[in-house]
Amino acid sequence: MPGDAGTSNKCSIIIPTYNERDNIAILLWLIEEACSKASIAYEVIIVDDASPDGTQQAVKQMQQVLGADKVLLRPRSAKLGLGTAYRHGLQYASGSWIILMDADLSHHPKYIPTLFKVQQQSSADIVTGTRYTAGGGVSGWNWKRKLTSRGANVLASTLLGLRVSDLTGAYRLYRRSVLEQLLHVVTSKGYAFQMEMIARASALGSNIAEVPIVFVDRVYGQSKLGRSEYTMFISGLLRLFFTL
Amino acid sequence: MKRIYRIASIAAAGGAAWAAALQLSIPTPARVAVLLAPLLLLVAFGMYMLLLLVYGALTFRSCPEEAQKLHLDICRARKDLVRQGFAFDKDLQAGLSSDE
Repeated sequence: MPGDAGTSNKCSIIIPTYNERDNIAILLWLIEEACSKASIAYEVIIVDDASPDGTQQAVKQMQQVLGADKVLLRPRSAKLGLGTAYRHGLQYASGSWIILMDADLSHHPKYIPTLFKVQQQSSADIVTGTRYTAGGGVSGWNWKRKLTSRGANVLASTLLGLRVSDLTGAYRLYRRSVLEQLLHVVTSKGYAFQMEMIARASALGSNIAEVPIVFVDRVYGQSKLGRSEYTMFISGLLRLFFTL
Repeated sequence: MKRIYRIASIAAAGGAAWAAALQLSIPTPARVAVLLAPLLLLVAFGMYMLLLLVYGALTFRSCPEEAQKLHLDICRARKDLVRQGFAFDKDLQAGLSSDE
């Protein structure tokens, strides 16, 4: 049970950041609230890619507030990829469970205890947040965005023969050994990265469970889906279809 | 076996069965049915995908109340952090997304 004193059932939360100065403080506070309420032993490893907005200074302030044993800052010198950020953070992780989540508060820490509860009930190797099943959802998206997101996932799960409803979601709990294996072989970028993680995990025979989550998008007015995201996703999907 | 090999094998087996069925001397209506069978299969599959998409999009919930709950959580966090001496960069944004 996570939180038992002296056991290795600690959870390492790896969060890549870029320009999240105010968000990261709030996120850390909410993580502390959720984990202390559920008696979950944790550490947060922040992999900041040289943010110019003072994110690292904010993290250092939070180290004073929450303790340097809970808040680890492991920055990088340039804006590099997501997969490499996870790999970088994993080097410093001491937990046997790893949570990967976003820094912009779209992934609410209140779901962390549920991720663990479902893992214990199902003995899953991976517990992924899903926006698409009952209890899940999204806030701040218009119908076009919702259609694109759901369409991409329906296409991918059908093409790849995967029973996981949310393949592009990035809010997940991993058994550390499984995550290490996956990060060694996954090469996709962008949304296809999250998809490839599940596809390869499934190919390895991993047990994957899902937890409904609501994704709150606060970045309004900013188009986050450009042409390159579409093409990267399709080419990533086709590559997986033909090689897995 | 890789997924693509399995799919290709089934497609090849299906193709062979289809070609064999066309060699048989069967009445014309049946012959036309066999000839059109692959096309109908494709159309059926397309319609199935469309159904999944429409159902999926319709059941994809919008939860404006979660944005409000998050806003309250942010307020609580900010209040407590300011009390503990944390210096925020920007003021609290009052607006919530209108894109529902």
